[in-house]
Amino acid sequence: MNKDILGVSAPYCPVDRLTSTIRSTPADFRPMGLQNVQWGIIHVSDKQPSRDEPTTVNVFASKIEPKLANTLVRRLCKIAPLEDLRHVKRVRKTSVGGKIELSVILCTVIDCENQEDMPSGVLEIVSAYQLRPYLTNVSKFAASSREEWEEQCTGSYNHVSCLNPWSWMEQKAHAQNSIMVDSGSTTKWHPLRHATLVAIENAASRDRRLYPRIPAKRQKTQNSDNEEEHTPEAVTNGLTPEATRPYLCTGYDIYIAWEPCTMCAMALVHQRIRRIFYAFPNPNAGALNSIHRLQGEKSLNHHYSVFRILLDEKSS
Amino acid sequence: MHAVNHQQMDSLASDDSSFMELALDQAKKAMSRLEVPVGCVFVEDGQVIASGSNRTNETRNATRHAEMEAIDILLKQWQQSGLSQLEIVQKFSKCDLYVTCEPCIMCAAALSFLGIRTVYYGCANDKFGGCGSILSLHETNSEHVTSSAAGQGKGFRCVGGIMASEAVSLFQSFYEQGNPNAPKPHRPVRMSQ
Repeated sequence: MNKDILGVSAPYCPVDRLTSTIRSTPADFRPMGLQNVQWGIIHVSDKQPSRDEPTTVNVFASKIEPKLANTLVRRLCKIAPLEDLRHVKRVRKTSVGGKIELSVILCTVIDCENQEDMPSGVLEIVSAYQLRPYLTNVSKFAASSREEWEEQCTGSYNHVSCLNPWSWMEQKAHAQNSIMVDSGSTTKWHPLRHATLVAIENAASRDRRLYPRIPAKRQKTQNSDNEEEHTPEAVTNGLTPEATRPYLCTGYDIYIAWEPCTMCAMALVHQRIRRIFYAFPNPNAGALNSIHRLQGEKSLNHHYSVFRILLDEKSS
Repeated sequence: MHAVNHQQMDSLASDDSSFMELALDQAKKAMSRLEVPVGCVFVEDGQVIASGSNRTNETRNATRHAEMEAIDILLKQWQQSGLSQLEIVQKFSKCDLYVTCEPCIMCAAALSFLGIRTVYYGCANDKFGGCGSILSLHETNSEHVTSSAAGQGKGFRCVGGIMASEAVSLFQSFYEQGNPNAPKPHRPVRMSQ
């Protein structure tokens, strides 16, 4: 059962980015297929971040020639990596009077008080390319509001059910056409089949399969009831299925691409999930930081831990 | 109770009670199967079009609340009879739900995604309620939601407190007999009156 995946799901709509996986054991925190990319993980608190804390970090930056961008960024990432600022893009593009200007973050001011104290590698770059460093600041935290998120992200994912859970009502023209084609008989769409709910359903069906319950009144018909037979795994443990059976998803983790919506986040409370790992905030509907923060609702009878996995720019 | 609309209750009181009776029947059915006793009916044009009761223990899926059961019946029924997505949207906007207990946060969010017209509920849900107790998802203001950001669904009308004492007494007798499917090390259940 090590690193066992209990349920994997894709949503009813053809979107490949919204998938979720429930696991029974802590994985090594590294999503499959991402072995060679830089990544980080942050705990998503059950409380709103305090407004008293400084929300920005001072950095030295400089304007650069656009053609130097690749070379400089590669060198700077080695000499002065922005360890705790993975959400920050190192290069910023601005357009001044129709002319594109690039500026690059050289290093944080935490590492050096004055320009002269910058890491020697950075100083070398400054003199070699005749850069003129100036002081500025960047956001200390990853975006949590819609506005900030839009600033950091380009592209739109409006068709993802969990991101825009009400959009099924708006795809009228498209829906009409598809119904016409297959006469409605084989159409299988469901406005509430978000990836998380499907993953929970799969985990529940695995639970029923591995730990069949034998109700007292049905014991006589046990042998004819093939669907609920003991599986080899449950029997070879030498324990009765009832004794080893987990309660719902107690102790399990879910890995989900996008921050779940309110419906999905509450479903995970009901199903007693232990930890939630997600990669992308969901400013439209997210219920773990963006719109609501269910892990911080004291009255609920279960509280999970929430983590956001920060992927590097290439994979996100 | 803040969600009660008294004028509405006076004019529709008898209808409301008879539909809530049917929801309570569903709740009793759930209890006879050793499930948490919650039941509901969907009503369109004065007719019950679907009913549902809690199946969380049987399915080991804690999301199988009465509302979700009935919603799945409706969607299947409407899709099988060849209704388009648009027609289903229009159907939901004319449907009312009668449920013995205030919908939880998950179900309230689901109902707002579906665009239901009105929810009539029995007792409030102090721990999970999504229609005023913990969150107020029925008050989502859809006017501020543009088509590209309709993340929070649509608000719906909500009327609480219909035959609440009947719903509460079902819960009480369920917890008195003990929930046989609750995990073993569990705090004693405290009934709030």
